[in-house]
Amino acid sequence: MRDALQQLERTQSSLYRNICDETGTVRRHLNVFINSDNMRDLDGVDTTLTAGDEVTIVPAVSGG
Amino acid sequence: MAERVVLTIGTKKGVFVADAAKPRRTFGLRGPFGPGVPVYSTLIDTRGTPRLFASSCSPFFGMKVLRSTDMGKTFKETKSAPAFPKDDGRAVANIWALEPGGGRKELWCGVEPASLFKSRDGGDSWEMVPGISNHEHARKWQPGNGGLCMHTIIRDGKRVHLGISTGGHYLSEDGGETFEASNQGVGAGFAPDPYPEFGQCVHKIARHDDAPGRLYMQNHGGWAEWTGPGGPRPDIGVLRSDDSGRSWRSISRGLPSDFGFPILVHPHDVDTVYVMPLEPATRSCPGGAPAVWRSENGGESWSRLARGLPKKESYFTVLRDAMDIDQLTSPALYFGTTTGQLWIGREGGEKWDCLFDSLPPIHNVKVAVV
Repeated sequence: MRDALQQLERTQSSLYRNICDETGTVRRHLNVFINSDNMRDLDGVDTTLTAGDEVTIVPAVSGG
Repeated sequence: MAERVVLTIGTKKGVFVADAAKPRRTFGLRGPFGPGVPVYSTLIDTRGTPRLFASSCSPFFGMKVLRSTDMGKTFKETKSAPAFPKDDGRAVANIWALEPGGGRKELWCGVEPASLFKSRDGGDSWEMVPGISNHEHARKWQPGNGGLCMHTIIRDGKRVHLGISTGGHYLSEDGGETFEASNQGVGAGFAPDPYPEFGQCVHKIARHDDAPGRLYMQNHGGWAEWTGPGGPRPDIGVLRSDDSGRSWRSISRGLPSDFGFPILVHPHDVDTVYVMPLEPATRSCPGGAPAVWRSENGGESWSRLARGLPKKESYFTVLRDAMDIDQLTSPALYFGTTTGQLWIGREGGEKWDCLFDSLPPIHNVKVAVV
């Protein structure tokens, strides 16, 4: 997953900055799902992706 | 084209732009731009073709700088926003100050955690200024309620003043290469040492071009009842320096409270200064009756300006960057409230009217005649 985010940084830097801060940390309100599992419930950015996995990035915008 | 009075209004839910012909009778309102995202800093840049800037500080998607080249009809993101070097370990949490630098395109930017950035191309690329961002004190500064923010940047040739909450006043004499804490006489109401070298909760600093050595400061208020180590420290909230910020003295006497956030200098009179005292316990208007207080003798005495403002049951707060004054011959003051009202004080604050009654909570108000 870390490699995937780094690839995103190289190819779509503007989108990447919306997802990760400058330390490389995924922003607090951004949820990254690998198939149907939240990355945070797996091994975070150290989660290994396998062929055919689908990564979905979902912002959880809350507040009033 | 006829000159217009332009206001940028940074709110909890985006930036608004208001403008009026010079008599300032009726203001039109546009926005919100960057809708739904807090804006803590705006800049009306009148160098060359006027441009408007706004920080867009999303807790979800990070920091952006918005720029308008059509006087606030549209805004677009600049190519990048201030960000720490990758190996620094810090991440920008909010953008608190945008100020013009040298030439026509340079911008200076203060952020949270307290650090300084510079852009040489009008906001498209940014570099960290290490002299203050990596200062030996930087890792010892503590956040106030608004976060650890660099909120004031004042440039005066090679001299640069910075205000940090809570870090204090820092002074550079070499154009921003190096900085020293310069807080002699600036008290802290929340530490055993009433006058530490640094760590004060400076709220805002103001100066006038005609008296560059004189500075006015709204500091975090004092604590007259404290009986612990260091003893009481009253009247440390409103201060003045006459030696370019090397030493400071209280000018709080005569105010109903020395606590407040904004401080302004009259555009045509260096002796006229404005503050908005707040009750320290609630950070709201004393007695529920808001008033701006004005000194016309550099802080020796103060008078209350409240004609047209509510006389009771008003408990809003006016934040550090939510008050400004225009440059017209008889200038008007403007302040925005945390309850979303924007007020205009005509004739130097003698007569107040509410321009807009129901905006989102207001963080920032800037005005320019363009």
